[in-house]
Amino acid sequence: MEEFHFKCIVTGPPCVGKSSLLLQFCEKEFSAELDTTVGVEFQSKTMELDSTYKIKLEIWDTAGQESFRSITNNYYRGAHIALLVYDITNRQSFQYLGSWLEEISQMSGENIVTLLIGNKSDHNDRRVVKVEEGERFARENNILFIETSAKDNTNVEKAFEDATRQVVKLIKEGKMVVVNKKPQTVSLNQKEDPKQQQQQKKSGCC
Amino acid sequence: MISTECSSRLFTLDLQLKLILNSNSSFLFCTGSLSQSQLAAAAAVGASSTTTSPNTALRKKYLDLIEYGNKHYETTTQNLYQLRKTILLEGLPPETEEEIEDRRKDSPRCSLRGLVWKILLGIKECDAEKYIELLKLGSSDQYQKIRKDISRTFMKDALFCQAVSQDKLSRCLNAFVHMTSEIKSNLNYVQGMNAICGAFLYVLPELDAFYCFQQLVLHYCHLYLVPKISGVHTALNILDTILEFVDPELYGYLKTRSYDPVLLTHAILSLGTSTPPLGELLHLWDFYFAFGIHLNVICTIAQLLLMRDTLLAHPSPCSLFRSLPELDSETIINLSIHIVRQLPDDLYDLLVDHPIADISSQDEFV
Repeated sequence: MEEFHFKCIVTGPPCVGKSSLLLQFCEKEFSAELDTTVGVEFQSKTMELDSTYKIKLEIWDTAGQESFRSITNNYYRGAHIALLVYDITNRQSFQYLGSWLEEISQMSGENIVTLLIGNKSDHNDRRVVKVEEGERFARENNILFIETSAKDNTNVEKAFEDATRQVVKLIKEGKMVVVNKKPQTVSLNQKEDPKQQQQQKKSGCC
Repeated sequence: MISTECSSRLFTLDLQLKLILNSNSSFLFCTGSLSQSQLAAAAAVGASSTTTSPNTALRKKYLDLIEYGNKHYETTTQNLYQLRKTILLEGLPPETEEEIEDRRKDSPRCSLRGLVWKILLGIKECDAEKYIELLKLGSSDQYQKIRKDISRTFMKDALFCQAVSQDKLSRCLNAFVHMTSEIKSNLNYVQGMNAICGAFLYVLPELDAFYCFQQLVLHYCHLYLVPKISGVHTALNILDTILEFVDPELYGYLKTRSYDPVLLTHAILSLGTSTPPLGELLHLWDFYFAFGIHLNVICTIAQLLLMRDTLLAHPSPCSLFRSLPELDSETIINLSIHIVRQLPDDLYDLLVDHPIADISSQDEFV
């Protein structure tokens, strides 16, 4: 089975359920009693994708508050996946996603795969951000979109699968390059000209 | 809390002096807020308590120290020395049932720990009118953020939730934000303050907790909580340097496994409040308030060393940093004293200063 190591960063405004999503994904648990994330937290998880690939994910969970940007910004570098999370029951968390996206593209490579996640879909009764709004925002910004519920485990795994599938696709298309030197890291290489990219791809482990 | 045999040995090794000389504060025994009646009340609590006699004796020792300190200002330095020494060698006694009951009933009476903290932090008076004035200003511009976080503070701790209402925590933090804008400080609400303030509210009545929290943040670790949390960055650099120094093998292994000191941000910034249980944390805080907040960096390293075998055997050790093993204050303090003894003086000085003094040349410690 072909094996990949990807780095994934989870980001977005405070209190939208970033840590809960990870807890559900990595440990199949939900707790309404998670304390606030201060700084950055790290987890790793190995998953199978489409029975074809073995993906080892290094996941960096970041705090949502501005004070921690100086810390969390470092984590975009070299990341393959950014999960940008908002809360469908909180308009404010959706409002400023533009600036979050800007930050992601500034701090990472352009080729980073960004998945917009509307979390807390179990609270449909309290929903204030329509599905279509999320979809539209994603379409306009050319990123992926999904709604999830960390609480009842809806689409949580699918979110990670969608994102990793897209990264694998980009690698196969030669738009992302796997560096062979360090087996643990895969680096983005969007700045290189296509020829060089192809050469690198040939020499890469895929 | 620290076995007498072990710590008296340490004590003779001049360590205490190093700690005391380096603690960065000139504390004063408080006068105004520690009235005789409060002392008498605290003493009565001790006397009528059902706890075992060694604890009662220890409690009396503290109360005597406090009483003596209140009457002899001319020897404040020495009085404080005695207080700190007692904290290091014997720790604070367990709470009495009356103290626990006081907390549950929201009594305005200070527990022994509360009194000791106020002395160590140099709280001379708690101006109730000022606090009320701040409360009357209503919601601050940070209120929404605070509101979200207060329901996520020590949630798993049933005793905390019982004792510290969300309203109390919200009032205190909100008043703090108003206060910072009044004195034109660049401090503002930062996540992590919720837990720090919460711990004060757990130990002290609301008014006293507010002033202790304010004093700690403004004077003992403000760089941890300025908007750019620059002191935390310095702390993490120092932590990194010290960890490599005291345990190169562990450090080397972590380095090959996605290690980055920022993964310990929570332990540094929130002064250990991110790791349960709260009861053990309070003993660590006794130690910090007696000898300096900088010791939190050392105690965090001690926690890593205590889980060394687990870390070395784990394929993804840094994922364990998310929630460190439950605090065991006695072991952590003992180990951190050993770490301090190994440190070169220049590194120790840097450590002592970092929560309050800007260290411009921090790059050399990256």
